[in-house]
Amino acid sequence: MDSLESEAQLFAHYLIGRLANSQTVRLYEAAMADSKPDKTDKKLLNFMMSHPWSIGLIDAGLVFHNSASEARRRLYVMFAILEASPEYYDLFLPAKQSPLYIFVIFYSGVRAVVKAGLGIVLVKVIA
Amino acid sequence: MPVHDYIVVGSGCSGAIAAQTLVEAGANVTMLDVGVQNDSAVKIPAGDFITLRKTDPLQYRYFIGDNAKGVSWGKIGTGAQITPTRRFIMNLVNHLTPLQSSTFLSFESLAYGGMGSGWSLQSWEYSKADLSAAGLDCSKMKQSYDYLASTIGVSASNNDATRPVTGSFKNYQPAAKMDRNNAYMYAKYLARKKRFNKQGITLGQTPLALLTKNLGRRQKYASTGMGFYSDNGNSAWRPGITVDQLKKRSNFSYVGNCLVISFVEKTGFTEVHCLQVDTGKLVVFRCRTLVLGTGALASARIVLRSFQDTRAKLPFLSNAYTYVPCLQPNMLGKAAETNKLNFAQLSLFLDKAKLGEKASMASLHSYQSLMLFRIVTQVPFNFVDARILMRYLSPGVIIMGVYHPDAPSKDKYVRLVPDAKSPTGDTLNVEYALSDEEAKEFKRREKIFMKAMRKMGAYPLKRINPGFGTAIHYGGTLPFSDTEKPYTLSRAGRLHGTKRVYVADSSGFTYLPSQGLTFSIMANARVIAQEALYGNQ
Repeated sequence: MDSLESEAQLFAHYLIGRLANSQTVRLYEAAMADSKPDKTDKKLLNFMMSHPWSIGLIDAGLVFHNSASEARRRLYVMFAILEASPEYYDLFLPAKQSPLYIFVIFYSGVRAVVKAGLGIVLVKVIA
Repeated sequence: MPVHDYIVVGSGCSGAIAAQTLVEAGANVTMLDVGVQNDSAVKIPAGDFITLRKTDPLQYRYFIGDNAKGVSWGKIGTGAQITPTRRFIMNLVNHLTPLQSSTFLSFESLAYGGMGSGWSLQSWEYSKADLSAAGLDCSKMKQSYDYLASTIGVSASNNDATRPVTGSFKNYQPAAKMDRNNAYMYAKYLARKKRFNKQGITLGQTPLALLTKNLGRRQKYASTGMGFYSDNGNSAWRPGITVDQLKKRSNFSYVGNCLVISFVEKTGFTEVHCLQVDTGKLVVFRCRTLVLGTGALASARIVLRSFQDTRAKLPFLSNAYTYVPCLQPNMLGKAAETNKLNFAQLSLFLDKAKLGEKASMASLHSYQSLMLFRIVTQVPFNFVDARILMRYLSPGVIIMGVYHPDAPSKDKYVRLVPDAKSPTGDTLNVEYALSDEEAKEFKRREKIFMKAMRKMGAYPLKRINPGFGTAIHYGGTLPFSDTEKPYTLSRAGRLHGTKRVYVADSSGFTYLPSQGLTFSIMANARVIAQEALYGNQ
């Protein structure tokens, strides 16, 4: 498995909890053909590849540390590719939710804040 | 070398309507245009937004573009929201018509159909006060509006927003059905109408150049929610539709790949100098009457270049623009709506009655068909939690775009500067700044709009100022004037200092009211073409 393919699989798993299908991987590889990460982004990407648990923390940390970073752009492109795929569309379209769903939203908000706090530290250490 | 009767430059809203007016009157017309074509070759199947999301494995081509080229990252500039199937509108612009500015984000087009190929379809008439302030003839413009409403097909209703500006509704098609977000807000407005009106707030459905009834071969809008991506039945009027029809006429010819650089008036004819875009060669055309319909910025370039003037500063107008994402709590957690109208459905005016042409306007769009990825970066969360949050919030997201009127000032101008790197040897420099008073007043108005939105059940989240120029409403570079001053137009649209060079776009406007100017540009193009037809000075 080459590095972009494994990156696509890891990013898809991080974003939606599923493995990417072959079309998604192919689209990701094509989109990344002219991507040129700088030294810091390379370090971050390498760390994410070797420690998949860190992807969420680095993603959250980069929002505040360097929101325009190439590492985060790669996650964003994968987000868009997944959204534009019939296999995963239902994870992005609004769905009818019960009023109790507000607790899920509250939980993900708290989780996002915690991840951001830890992520900022982790990004600073790696970069 | 043949001498053409009329040369019309540009195939956008003003060029198309000017050419149509001349051709229908029996004149021989040649249109010169760069005419960048939509070469994406993406075939979008018939179907609504949700069905295509569920079923089409090739949807990525029109939702995110090949190689994800339609996925913008970093600082959002003008045109960032343009969908992949419409990105051709921006092709070649930076190379062929460069522009420099420290304060202004421009958007121009060299496409077939110009910026009208991606136009928001809002078709506002200007009120009598607006027309007078903009230097336009009220009775001629009203006749033009009526003609255009029936021929291009504009849908509108008689409501609090349209009533003060629309002359007659008899030529309009019925307004399109509102989606649930807008219907909810409108009901809230109607319930408290008297109180809103007392505060100077009026709300009503936006007139759109969108068919709600079939017109000729064009089909009525299908409410598929795919309006940002495709229009198989040509229900939305785009200038290309009119130019395509003109091409079938024997007294019209179209010359593409042709960037008009300058003109020179000689005895009995005008020479038009062009750059052939595909070969890089310079070519010359001759005509008896030249009509520029290239937009306020491009016309300024052509005129300044023709007079070889890199010193003159021309005035410039552009509506200041701010947008405010708002949230309707009662729509949260709802399933996606199948039949969605993508265009602005409601428009909010502030102080139209009191201020007349000085009123500000806000147009309201509900969010769905632009996909989640375009708004997910607005949340300062990691993408996983941002997706969960935005998926829940997006059914309740309404984007309010606020437009302010604009008047000339010494801090708003354009000039041509030499640039050896540019294919034309120059660059247009645009400088634009609001006075402190204007900025303060606009901020005050935006606060009133936000308060009104809260009262209609939509809570503003944050005010985003995308930068001057992002409204893509430009005008005023060659203002109408009753005296024969350089770089001004006569009331008939003739460029002072020339005999038969007319400018049919918004260059002549001496004021820009807040509501969209495109319909008025088209009406004015028709008026100017009629003046040119009879050689009126």
